[in-house]
Amino acid sequence: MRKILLISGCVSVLLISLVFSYAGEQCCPEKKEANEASIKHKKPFAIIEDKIEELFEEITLLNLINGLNLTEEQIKQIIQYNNEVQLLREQIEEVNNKTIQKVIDAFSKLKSALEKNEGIPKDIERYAAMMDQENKEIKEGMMNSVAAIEKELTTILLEGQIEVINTFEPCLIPPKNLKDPVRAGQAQDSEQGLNLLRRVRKIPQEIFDQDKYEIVERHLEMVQKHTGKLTNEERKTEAERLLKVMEQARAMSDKEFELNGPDLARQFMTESKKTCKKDKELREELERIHQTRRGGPTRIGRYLLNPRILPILGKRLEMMKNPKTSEPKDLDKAQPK
Amino acid sequence: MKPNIPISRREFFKQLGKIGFGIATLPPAVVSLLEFHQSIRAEDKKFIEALYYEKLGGGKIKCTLCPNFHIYKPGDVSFCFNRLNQNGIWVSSAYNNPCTINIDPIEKGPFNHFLPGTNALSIGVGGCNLRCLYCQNWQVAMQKPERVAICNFTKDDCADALLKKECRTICYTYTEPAMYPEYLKEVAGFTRKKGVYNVVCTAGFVNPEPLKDICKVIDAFAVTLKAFNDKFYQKICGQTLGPVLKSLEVIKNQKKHLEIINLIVPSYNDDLEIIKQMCQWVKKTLGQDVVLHFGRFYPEYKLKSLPPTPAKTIELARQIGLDTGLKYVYTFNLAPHEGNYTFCPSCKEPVIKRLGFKVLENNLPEGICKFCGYKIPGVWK
Repeated sequence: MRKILLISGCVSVLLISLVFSYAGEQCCPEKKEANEASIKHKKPFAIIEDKIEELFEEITLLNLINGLNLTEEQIKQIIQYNNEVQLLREQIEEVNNKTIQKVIDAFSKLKSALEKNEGIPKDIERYAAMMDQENKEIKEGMMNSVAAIEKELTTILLEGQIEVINTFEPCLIPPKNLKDPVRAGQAQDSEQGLNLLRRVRKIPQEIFDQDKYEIVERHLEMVQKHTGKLTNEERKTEAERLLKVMEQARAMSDKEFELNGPDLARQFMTESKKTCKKDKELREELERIHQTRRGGPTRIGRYLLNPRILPILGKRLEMMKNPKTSEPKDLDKAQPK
Repeated sequence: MKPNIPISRREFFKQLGKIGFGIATLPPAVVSLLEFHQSIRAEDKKFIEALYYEKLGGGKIKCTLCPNFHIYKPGDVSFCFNRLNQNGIWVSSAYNNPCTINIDPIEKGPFNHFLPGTNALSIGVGGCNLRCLYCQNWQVAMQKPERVAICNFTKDDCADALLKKECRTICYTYTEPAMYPEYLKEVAGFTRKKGVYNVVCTAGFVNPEPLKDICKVIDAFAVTLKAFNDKFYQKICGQTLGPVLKSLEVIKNQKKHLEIINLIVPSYNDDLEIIKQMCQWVKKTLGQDVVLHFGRFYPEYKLKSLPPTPAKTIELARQIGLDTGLKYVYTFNLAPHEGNYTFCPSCKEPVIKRLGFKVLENNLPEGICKFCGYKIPGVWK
């Protein structure tokens, strides 16, 4: 339970920070400095939280890199593009440093005028608007330059790698499809929920009629551990859907169940996840809107042009240059049974 | 009330001996009981008489299905678990008794040159005549079919399922389909007449005659060539290499579509020199158009302590295959990867892009490269 809370907490923190802070923070050196200064005044707990967040981001990036099977050449190119972006950020920060003082000046004058509540002088109003626009343009310029590099970066990736990035979710423990994917010729593709439906099928009708609501209730409790409390309406819809799937599974013959069981299990589990990941979906929607409106980096840019990925890729490159070699085993000692 | 008579030392040891004897004979008694129970179940299941065996005297039979040519006395179960001697009659317990029925992408076979992007009705039956220490389906492969069977699944059920699930192919896979030729031939023969393709994933450790008979009803084979090393076959898989090579030749001579699978187990069969010899043999004996897959091992069964195969090893093996002159060399269990793609040998363009078993883009309508018109071997429509 604590682990789940920790993971979901970290996911929220990371996503929010990725969506809102990444581009903005890189563009605003004053914000960065302020952050650094604030660290000195931070309480130990906040520092630990930051460290956890940083570690989580690094673990997420490692999980992604492990799932991409990048070649040596691709890694070298990503490092090159990433360095370009970091250089660009530094250059823009320099320009921004000069502008930012003017922005502060303009906004301070506007604030004073508003505090007096005697109307805003036209020149102050115009100056504040102009500086605000200039500030935005610098940020947009930065975004556009990063987007152009990201476009080039995309061309070195395989379609499969792009799909993996686009469907990847920040995580501590890599998902099954990355950690232990279904293999060629493998019979057991343990579909989540299939075993549960198998057990449900075996329950005698009388007992099922008695216990079905309890089964649903337990499933909903499990779901809520991931999502937080569901609304009454959500619970009702979800309970009705789960009951329907269970009834369907029970009504099937053995042959029908073997053929359709995995689909039903998917419905049982995945649909639940859909209902329950509403806020996550909202965040993703927000992310997409943000990316379209501001022209900021897509997932590819956010992950592969993230400065934190540089040391990870550096180490990976080293490992590739000095691969571990496996000692040949003595076949005489291996005995089939 | 009985008087409390102390037991003599002799009597004590006598009693102790009886108890010991009882304990010692208990396991065989339980086993006999289970076997008796099983034989009743076996009769219930209406097993059919098996093909490919010779009757010897005294109720003994010699199985001629696989190159082991084992002799079995009445009551014996075959090494592959699929057959048993019922009073001198060799019967198949696999008939209509699948342990797994799934709808899988055909690429899971793996088949990369056979109706890409379509689904197959995949059937597996318990039992196998190999004893691979890294078997990924050992839960069913090392069991008698009737013990792991999920339902009675006849040829009519297969046809019905194909229709309902909109599959054009039946794939006999997961365990060793060559060990249940009776069931396989019946289902394949029946569904073939309805325009359904039938494909087999096998280790190829089967005698040429039964294999030729199987070829009559099968459209494509994915054969696992576990290593190009007889010692590996003997020590890791419990069989020998020779018959597998022979099977590959039989399939080729029968003009069936063939894809070869080689799973690279780190430290055991990852010697690049032997891999090179294997590629050379494939090219020389089967031709450069034969599809070859190199796969990543994941810790399984009795080789759990090994790590997964490094991606680099798979890449090197693939490169060796291509350098040898084989035109279609793939990687599996390693995705995303360039080795999942089909490249046109003529213009080098990726004609089918895949992510593991998923087809992302197909530029190979009816097997003709969309970019240069080169014809790529396989079954495409």
